[in-house]
Amino acid sequence: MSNLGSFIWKIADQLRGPYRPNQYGNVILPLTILRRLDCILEPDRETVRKLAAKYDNPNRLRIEVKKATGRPFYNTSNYSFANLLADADGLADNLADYIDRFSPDVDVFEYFDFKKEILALEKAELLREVIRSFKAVDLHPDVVSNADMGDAFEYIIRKFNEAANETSGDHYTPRDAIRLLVDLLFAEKNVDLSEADIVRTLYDPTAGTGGMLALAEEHLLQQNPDAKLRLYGQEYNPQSYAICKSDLLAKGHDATNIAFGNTLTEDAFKGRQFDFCMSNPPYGVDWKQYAKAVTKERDEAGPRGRFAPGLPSTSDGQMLFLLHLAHKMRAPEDGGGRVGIVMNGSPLFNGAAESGPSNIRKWLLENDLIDAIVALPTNMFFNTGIATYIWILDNTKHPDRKGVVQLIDGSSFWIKMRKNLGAKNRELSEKDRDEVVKLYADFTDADPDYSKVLRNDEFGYWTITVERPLLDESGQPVLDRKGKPKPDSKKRDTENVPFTYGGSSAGAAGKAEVIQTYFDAEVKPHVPDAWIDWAKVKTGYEIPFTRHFYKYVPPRPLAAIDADLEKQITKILELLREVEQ
Amino acid sequence: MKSDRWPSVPVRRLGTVVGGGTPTADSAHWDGGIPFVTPPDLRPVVGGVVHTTQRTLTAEGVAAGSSIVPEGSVLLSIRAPIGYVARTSSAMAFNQGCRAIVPFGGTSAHYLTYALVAAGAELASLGRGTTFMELSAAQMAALELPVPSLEEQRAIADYLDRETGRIDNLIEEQQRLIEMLRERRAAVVSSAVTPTDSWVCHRIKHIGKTSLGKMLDAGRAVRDGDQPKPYVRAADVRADGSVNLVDLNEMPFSDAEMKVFDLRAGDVLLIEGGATVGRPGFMFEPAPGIAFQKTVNRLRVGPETDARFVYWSMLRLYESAYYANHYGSVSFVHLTGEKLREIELHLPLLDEQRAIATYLDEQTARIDALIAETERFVELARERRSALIAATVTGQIDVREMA
Repeated sequence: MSNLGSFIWKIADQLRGPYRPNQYGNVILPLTILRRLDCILEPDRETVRKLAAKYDNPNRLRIEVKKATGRPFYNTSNYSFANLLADADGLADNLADYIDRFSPDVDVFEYFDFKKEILALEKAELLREVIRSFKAVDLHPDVVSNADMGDAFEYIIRKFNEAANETSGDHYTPRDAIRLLVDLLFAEKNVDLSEADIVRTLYDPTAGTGGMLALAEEHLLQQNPDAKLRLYGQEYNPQSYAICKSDLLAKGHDATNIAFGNTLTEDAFKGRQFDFCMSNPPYGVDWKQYAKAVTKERDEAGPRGRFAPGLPSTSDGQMLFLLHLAHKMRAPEDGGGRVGIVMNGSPLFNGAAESGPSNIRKWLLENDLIDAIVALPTNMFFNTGIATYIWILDNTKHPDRKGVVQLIDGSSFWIKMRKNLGAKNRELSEKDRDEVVKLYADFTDADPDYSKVLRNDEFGYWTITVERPLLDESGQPVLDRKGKPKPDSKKRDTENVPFTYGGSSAGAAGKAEVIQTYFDAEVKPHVPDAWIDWAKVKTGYEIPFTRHFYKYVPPRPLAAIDADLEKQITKILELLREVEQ
Repeated sequence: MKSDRWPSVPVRRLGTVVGGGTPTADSAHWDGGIPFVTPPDLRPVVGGVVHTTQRTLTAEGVAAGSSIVPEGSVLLSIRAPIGYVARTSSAMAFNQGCRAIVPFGGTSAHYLTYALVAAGAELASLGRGTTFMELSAAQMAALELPVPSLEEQRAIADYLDRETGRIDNLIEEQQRLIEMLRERRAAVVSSAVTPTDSWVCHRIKHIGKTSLGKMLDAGRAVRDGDQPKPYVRAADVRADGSVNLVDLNEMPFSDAEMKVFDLRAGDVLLIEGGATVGRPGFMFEPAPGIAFQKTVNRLRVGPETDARFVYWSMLRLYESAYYANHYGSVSFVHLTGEKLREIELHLPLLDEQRAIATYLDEQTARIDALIAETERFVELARERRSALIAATVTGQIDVREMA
């Protein structure tokens, strides 16, 4: 790890007082990026200024600059770190002019709201010192490689996130969880990755500060240094967006595929599909503000639209991202795609038969898109201790895995952290990660205490409505016009009948037969006058994760306990004698 | 504390009293090589030696806002609560919740630790404070302790190490006995209600009715005619399966509600959520005028089923960790009426149900009595331990004769 990151972060010491530690990033992050770009652009500054004087049209200018310098971005200001400090009184204005004159694709300073920060720094009489400190750091690519710059920037982001997390509980995915997700995401397709010269696309619709994209890329490049990758992301928090994009710029990446905005209402990559999709969407956060737009899209897009299978309740939007990603996988005919998404427990089981969540599960399972679900340890995230799960979707499953879902209980694979970070006091070590990935790879041979492979139809059930007759005052059934007994709505009951009841493997097709068998055995003997209202039968899907791993452990035999008790009493009497001696 | 045999000396004559502190959260201060003691670190080693601490400081951190004392110093917690005492196994820093005594030459830290343990009640009584009790430096320094010769201090400390070690060992074994008795109780219940082939499986909705209690609506306006009435909540369903009916909370109920939420003899109550979700309680007697709240499900079985047998069956389910492992949940497991009604119970014929329930009542009563006696024994052993320390440091036991 280079010391550059910590060296730059130390500049923040100058801010102590007027700034709180969780605000240091607002200054350090944009200035680091500004200084990096400043150093990159330095050699061609004159060329670009001349071109800018010649071409008013920004599109033309972009083309000419690219021709002359080989870079897609540029800056046309007369200011740079080289001369900013020369005009002491005009520093704030000149700095503002400098960031204003970047080419339009370098929009990060706007999203950092950096002009406001310039004014704040000036007011606190810190601006001059801070600019002087940054000027002293040479970030030219000849001195600091893209890789080193990337490491340094990541270090600064991490320091920033740690400071911010301790106070604000921001939603930020810990690296150990991302690593496991990435390992599982690539577990099946690592073979393809080793083919050089194939461009793979990675996509995160809730990119945050870009942590998932960065780690996924790192992983892929480790496997295959020749892999060609293109990173796509969308983020709706302005600051996170600016950090994410800056991180890519710092590493010398093409950052044009990082988009600002809300994935649920304005998908920036409409019509695009990707090889690998990842997301850690917010859990249990309501989407009432977008409900209108989402419902409208669903109504207008028809059966192939991303939200067509169903909508979750407006109190929790995580399944919208699940659906979104299920539609973002590269089409099977083009090679297929894979998704890794972290969610809490609710998408596994929330919602009754034919509710939105149940219909989403139905659509995923009937289309054989769920490859595996992995339970993570609790206390893994900074802002919550609840149970979380990684879902792996795949539209071109390995032939052995077709028609089934692997459930992996990874909740016991963790080590205690030396120091808590918010609610996070557990982490996945490399060994823990390897063990979970091995459970995945071992598939049907994996230890059944931790892994189960179930057919898609084993998650299905019917909810049947059981009616009983309405009786008149004399205890006789009241009949309708057709001479059939009228139901008593007060005695109405519902029952859930698993697709697999009585050992059936016919799935949804077994409906009439399985329901009748169930009714005859489980209901009729207890309520002989009951009948099924067949018009009200509903189909549901749920994934009762914990139930599949529950094992009844009977107590030890009484004789064994009694033998231990006898020994214990003898021992205690001896000890008592010693004490009373 | 006074002794007839030895002079009493204020703490300030026995060693240097040092106050503690906590440096700022700056990462340069923390996670270094110096143990940082806070009262929770002392709790498990009271009377003994503190070896490890949850957090550590760097030398910079100590300089920035804490204090350090050498090996063989005595640390005393001075708030939250007052009176945890242990000596240090190495140089250690400590926070403002502790104060240290670095003994002078004539004082054994080992003996001083025991003397402060013996002075525990006196120390607590000296605490001052409006929100929480804290022992001031002046009061601590003025506390008088009996001080024999250094040689005798050492003999006392060695004697007490040996004797309290024996008592601690005995207490530990008694606690192990309690655990084994609890295991036996669960095994007796489990084997008695394990179904044989002749038992018939029924879902709860086919043998009885379930109701969830009334929602606590403290903020809502009281309707005309509502009367405040006591109600049972989850905390009143006790671990031993009884239901507390005294000193209950109250909320307004209408007459109609009192009929709906009544409690009769034979009702089985089941905790609706939380850490003890599904734990059953049993109503041996009716409780007229008392209702129940929605943290509790009421299960009232019909005449074809023995309610007490159902209680034991539900206890077995609870003790096999059924609920936490059976129902999906985002954070807390709830036993809703819907889930409760679908639970399967295996039932023998009514006479056999009654016979099993009676057998279990008798068997568990014996085990419970044994557990209660063992707990009493542990109490006595603890009392003996305290008394022994006090008697020894005040010179009532001559340890030279005991050696």
